[in-house]
Amino acid sequence: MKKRLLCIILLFGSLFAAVAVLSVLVGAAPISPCKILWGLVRGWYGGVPLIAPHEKTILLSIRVPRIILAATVGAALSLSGVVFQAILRNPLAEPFILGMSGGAAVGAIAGILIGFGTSSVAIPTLAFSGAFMAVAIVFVTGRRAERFDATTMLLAGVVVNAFCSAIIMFLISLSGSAGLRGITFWLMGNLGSAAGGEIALALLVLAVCAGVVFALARPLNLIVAGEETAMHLGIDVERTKIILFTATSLMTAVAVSYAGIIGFVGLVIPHMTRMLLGSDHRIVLPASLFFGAAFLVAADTVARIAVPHAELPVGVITAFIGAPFFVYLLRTKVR
Amino acid sequence: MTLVNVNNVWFRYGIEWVLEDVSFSVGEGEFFGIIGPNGSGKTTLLRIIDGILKPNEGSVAIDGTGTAGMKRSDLARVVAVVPQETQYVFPFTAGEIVMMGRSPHLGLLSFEGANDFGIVEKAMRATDTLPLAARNFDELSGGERQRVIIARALAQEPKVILLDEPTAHLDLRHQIALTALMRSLCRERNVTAIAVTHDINLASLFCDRLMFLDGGKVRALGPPREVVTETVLREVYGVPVHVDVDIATGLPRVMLTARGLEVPR
Repeated sequence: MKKRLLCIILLFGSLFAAVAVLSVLVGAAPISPCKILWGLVRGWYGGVPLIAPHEKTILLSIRVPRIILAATVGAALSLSGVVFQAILRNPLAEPFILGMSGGAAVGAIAGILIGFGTSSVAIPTLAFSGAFMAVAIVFVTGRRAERFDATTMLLAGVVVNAFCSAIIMFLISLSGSAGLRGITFWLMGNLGSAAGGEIALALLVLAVCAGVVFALARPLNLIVAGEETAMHLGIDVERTKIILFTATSLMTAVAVSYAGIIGFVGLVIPHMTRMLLGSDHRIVLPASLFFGAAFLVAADTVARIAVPHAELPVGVITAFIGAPFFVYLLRTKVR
Repeated sequence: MTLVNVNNVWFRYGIEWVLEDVSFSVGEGEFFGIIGPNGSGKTTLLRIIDGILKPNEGSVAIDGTGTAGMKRSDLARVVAVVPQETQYVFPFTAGEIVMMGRSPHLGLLSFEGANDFGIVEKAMRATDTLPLAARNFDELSGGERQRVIIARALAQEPKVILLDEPTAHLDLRHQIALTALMRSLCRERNVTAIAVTHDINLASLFCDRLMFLDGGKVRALGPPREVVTETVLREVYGVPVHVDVDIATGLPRVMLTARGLEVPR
């Protein structure tokens, strides 16, 4: 078990590392990948790096932070997906179905329209409040007789999302064309706008929440079998669920507030990981952390370079991959 | 030696009493059957013994310790439960599921060790599920699944195993095989089993004692020979039945009879 876990972490960790390195090497600015690699080697041995200062700026203050944010967001979304699917015992659950996207979007768009524009503090804060408020509504609705009811929560999430869409449409119809581009970009996901301090904060939140989730991996295995079974096997189910919901909501809300709405990561990655590795969450959780990080870094790299002189929203790429996969899942996995 | 003590338990959902002053005790290594009509409070009683429901009045003690206020992880080392049916949303192998029985004995971050693998192997051998270890649980037949769940219960190393209609979804052969297996586990491993069932004949054949529950009250309690009688059954179920003695075993045998029933032809 320990050995297997170590192998999986090494394997998926190196997959992520490889994707990240590749992603640093390519981009809109024409910096030769060979030059970057050679520059790294030279720099390591104390030689004069071949990279020009402006190229160094592009690498260190644009590409690298963006990759770190993409990795953090991808990891947070896929971990949350694993946890929500397990707790709600529903293979189609993912953080966004529980209303987070809607809530965050309302917060962020309200912020853009009020005129905070591209403020790097106000927009994420509002998005975070919106996401948390939506989740709170879903939780309060889904809690019956001191228990979380999965079906009620999923339905509440659908309702909250629909209501939020209405608010978003309302806000958009009020807005002038100036705000529209910002809104669209936010709605489709954008990893390019966060600053260093925010990225560090997101990474910190992910580290803490992921630690909490990993510690509860074995109880999560038992909850998948049914809550009463988990109780019979010695788990304090309600307490475990509250802790897991809090940790996953926190990291998803942070991710959404910095990166906008990036769909399907929380759905595709957990299922692919389970298909490859089985259902033991002690393996699935760490594997999908790295897998999700690698996936979003790769998707964002494609978004950066797919169209010359333009940048696609990363949510478009994940949706192009995720939506067909969702249909495939519905056709083959869900009875 | 008595292991499970249920003392004057009263329980209600809302205003209606589901259990009224239920008291009984079960001895170590005994196979104890609880029988009664639908809605008589059988399953509620099991859920009180396993601590999921709290009685309004009265108490349950296992091996001299009251279960009220016990932590779930402590309780899970003493009581294991085999439900009617188990379904998994995500695929687990039979071996992984039996290993889950070790959960109450493991710390939060610890991995299972050689000792745990030994216990799991023994439990799977005892239930003849070892050849199924690598198979996916949802690919197994109903009878195989129930044996895997019993293996999981054994891996918990409990003092008591509670079974809630464990044979409800099984065919005749598997009903008998599973009940016989529980009986031999009680005898050989000195496990105590309390089973809720609708099958009076099966229970008479394998249980040491039976308790008839009706309307939340204990109507009869004793060895099958003494309590499985026409009088008791007519009183509890309100239908005419015929009870005779199986010559091979000397145990009571219940048959339906059309006497006093109006059967449209």
